[in-house]
Amino acid sequence: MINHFKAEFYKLFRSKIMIAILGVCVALVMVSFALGDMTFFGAGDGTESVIGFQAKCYLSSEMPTFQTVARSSLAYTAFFWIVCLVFATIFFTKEYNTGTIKLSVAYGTKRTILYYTKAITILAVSLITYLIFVAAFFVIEIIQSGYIPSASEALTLFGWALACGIVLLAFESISIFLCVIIQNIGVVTGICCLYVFSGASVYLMLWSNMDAASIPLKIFVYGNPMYYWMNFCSCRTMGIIEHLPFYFMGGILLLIVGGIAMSKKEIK
Amino acid sequence: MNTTVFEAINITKKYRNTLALNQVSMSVMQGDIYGFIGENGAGKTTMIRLLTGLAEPTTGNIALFGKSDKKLAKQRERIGCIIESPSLYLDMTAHENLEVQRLQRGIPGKVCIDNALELVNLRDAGKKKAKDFSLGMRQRLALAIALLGNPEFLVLDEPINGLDPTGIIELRNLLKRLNEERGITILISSHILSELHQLANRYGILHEGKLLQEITAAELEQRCKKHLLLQVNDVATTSALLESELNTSNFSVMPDKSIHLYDYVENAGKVSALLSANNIIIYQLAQSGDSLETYYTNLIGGCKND
Repeated sequence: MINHFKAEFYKLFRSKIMIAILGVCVALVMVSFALGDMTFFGAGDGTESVIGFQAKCYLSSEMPTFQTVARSSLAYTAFFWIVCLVFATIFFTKEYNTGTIKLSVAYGTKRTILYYTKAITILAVSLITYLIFVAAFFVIEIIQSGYIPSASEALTLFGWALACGIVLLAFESISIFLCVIIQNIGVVTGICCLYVFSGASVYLMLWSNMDAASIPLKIFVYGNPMYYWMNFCSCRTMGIIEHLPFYFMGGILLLIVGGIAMSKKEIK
Repeated sequence: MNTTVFEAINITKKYRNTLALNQVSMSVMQGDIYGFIGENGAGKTTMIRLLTGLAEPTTGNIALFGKSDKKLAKQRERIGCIIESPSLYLDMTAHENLEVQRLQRGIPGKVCIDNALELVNLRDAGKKKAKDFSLGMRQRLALAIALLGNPEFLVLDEPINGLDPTGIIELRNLLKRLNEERGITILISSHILSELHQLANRYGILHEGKLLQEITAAELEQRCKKHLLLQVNDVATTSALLESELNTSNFSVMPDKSIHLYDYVENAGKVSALLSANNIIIYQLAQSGDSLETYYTNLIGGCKND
């Protein structure tokens, strides 16, 4: 299996996809600089319970707080998730498109080994780059706002970023499962984008009255990455974090189902 | 002892309503260059896909190097293959493509990469990406990948596609050399029968999912050799006359009692006169003998547009 990890990383670092991801990340940082004039965007009453995307989240540029710095650091998370989604689908289905997966199978490698090494590579690279991405934004926000966080505050942000990272892993597991079933970059990306953005819309419609929502709608919202991002980026973890293990386990379960499907499926 | 490298026993492969392979049994022996002949959709690629584990047979059994079932995967490490079209990482160079395969298959040392590129004349490809390669270069790179790790059994599905005449000759010579010098067994499928004719020493002829015939090159040569086809009322007397009067023993009496005479092909009149003079009734006297193409076409029952 180590051979396969070596091969996966070799492919990753020699493909343009890694350069593209880094390029998009740098572009997002540039956007942050371009729009970095501490403006306040918000919805609702402008309190800490505000949900929704905010590029810059300072209630007061004169007196920045840790929460506003943290929220701004996590604000671009959803963009990064979409980048990761594209990365996962391209990197996974490329082997099918080029037919190189046939060679690996023909030389006696178990399909499950091929599947899990690729899936683990995608998940590990995504999580690590995401944490670096948030850390980069955190540093930028510190420089821009002049706020000096304590070590415990930095750890708290790391915890929130890790929670968002777990959401990312579950989301990517779902997309990898879809790649096994559908094997078409465009269709998988389309379905995942629809799933993400419809989740955001439905949650915005329901959030003030979640208790009254029907069970299927609740499952849809709790099983959607935007629900977690909107709340974690608003520093709201209470009542949210307990749903995360179920979402994560659901994603991992689909990843395993994908592995079983892969072992049964003919390779064309 | 001549051992079996690949054996298919009563293989049937069904895709929904299509029977791709129907009770096919075939074997490739060690040292063979086995030419797999068949028209499009005959089932050649399906059989190769089953051999390489890309698909599972509906019924029947496959053995590689004498091992089957769960031991097959391990045996597949001993093969090299090109399946359908060249499977390459198009945004990588030839060297990088081989390096990925080397890493994945755990082959120690990078010398094997240069050796494989040397064998297929791609050492000068340099930093050119595979996407910029001609189809012929891609085929050669795919062959280099197949040769990585010194396989004992090469499975090549239409490797001649896209090669120019020089490339075809080079590939033919390379495959012959690999077979003779390294003892590599080769299964090669192709539509270009004249090319297979110059390469293979055994043939499997597949038609509409059925294996019509397995034949050695010597048998095929014999069947395709130009001859006079004689159908007479007295085979024994005719044989004796040919030997005594025409001084030839270069003929065969076939199971259907016809005589294939390999001498006097251009002098049928002399044979006819001799037999008539000895009161032999001639039912048929004709020049016969096929190329591989006509032999194959006759075997499958003629061209579809005939």
